[in-house]
Amino acid sequence: MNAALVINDLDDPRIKNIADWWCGSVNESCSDLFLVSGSGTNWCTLDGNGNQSRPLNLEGRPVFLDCVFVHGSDFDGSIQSLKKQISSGWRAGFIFNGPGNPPCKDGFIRILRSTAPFALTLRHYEEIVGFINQKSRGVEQPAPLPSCCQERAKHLVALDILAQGFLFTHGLLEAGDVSRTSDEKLWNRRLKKTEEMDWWLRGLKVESMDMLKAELVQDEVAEANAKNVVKLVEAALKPPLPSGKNTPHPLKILREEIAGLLQ
Amino acid sequence: MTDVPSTIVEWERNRARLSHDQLKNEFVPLLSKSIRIVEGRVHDDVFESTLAERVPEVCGVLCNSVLALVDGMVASLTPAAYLGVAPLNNLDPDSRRWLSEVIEATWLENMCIERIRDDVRDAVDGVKRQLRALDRFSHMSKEEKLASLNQLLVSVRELGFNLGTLKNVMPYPI
Repeated sequence: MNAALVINDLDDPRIKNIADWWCGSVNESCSDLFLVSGSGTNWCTLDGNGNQSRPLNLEGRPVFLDCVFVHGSDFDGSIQSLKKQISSGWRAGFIFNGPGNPPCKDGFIRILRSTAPFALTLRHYEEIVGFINQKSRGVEQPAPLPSCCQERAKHLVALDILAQGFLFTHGLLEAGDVSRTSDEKLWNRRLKKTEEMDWWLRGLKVESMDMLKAELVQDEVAEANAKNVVKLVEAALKPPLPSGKNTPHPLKILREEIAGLLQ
Repeated sequence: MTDVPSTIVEWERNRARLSHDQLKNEFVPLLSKSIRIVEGRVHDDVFESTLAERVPEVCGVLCNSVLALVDGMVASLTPAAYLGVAPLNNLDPDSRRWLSEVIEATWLENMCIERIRDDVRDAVDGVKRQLRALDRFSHMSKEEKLASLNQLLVSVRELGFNLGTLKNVMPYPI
């Protein structure tokens, strides 16, 4: 299985990271990683340390690629040119570093993981290879999208925002110039609401904490972290809360944990 | 799939385009080529004849785009936008209202948004100052031209650094 990395900025440190990831994960069924620059015209091969070979002439270039990776900002200037050069095309294309989750371009799929620091692992490599293999077999069932192409922040962001709401109503969060309302009844109603499990489940659009845990795991949060996240929410909603000056509130710990998981 | 508010996605796309495409891949090479031409290391008569107009023109557009980006930063990046998309749009209207205020105020304070915005505006002012020095470019000696262009390059690189760090003010990574 061969792959090409299309990136015009040859000083980009991500080249080494991507080469290290792809070549370091390679098994015997995989072969070359090509680096394509100059708006799709200059070719060389990369080793696992990101070292570039001498430029490849036309004869040394592949006529078909299993996989093309392209840097988001180089897409428009490079892909048309690459199409002309690769007579038989490629099986799957992925875009690095495309912010957000816009629609795929020309069948290219966005990789929604950080490239600086580099967040792709052996598991992602295996999923991409599995995805390409399934496509190559032409089976009717669509290949599952590699997990690195799926967003994982959905529940974590919502949890962090809900936690801020709880901490604010309980006087545990400073929110700039926003202060508690002078309407005591309204304030208490809001405070009570943040203590109800239903408020959390509605805000997360899940039916139970077990479902939340399952969805977090599906979103690529490690099972131990998912379990801990749920435990911290439950601890906050089931008094007595930990007491003492030096005991941080569970939702403060939760926010720290979420910040780490979103990196 | 997650619903990342479209305002956040669009703002980040503009920032990346400005930082990577316009500044790093377009303006810095233009400036570097201008320096090499003045040094006499590169000969390009057509480029040289338009250099005095081209550099300020491209740079002016770049500065205006950066200012527009920072002016729209709070409105585009506010974490309150997450209350308008799934799953948090499932909350009752009152919760969404007060939570919006709380999380925006917390974000503004924790990320020091005002200071960061001022830093970028200062960097733009620095570029504009160097740009004004090019007003009398055609009357300058070779050494003066080189000094002005090199100072402009330093200011532009500082602006590029500021644009790069702006990525960190997003309330959550996307």
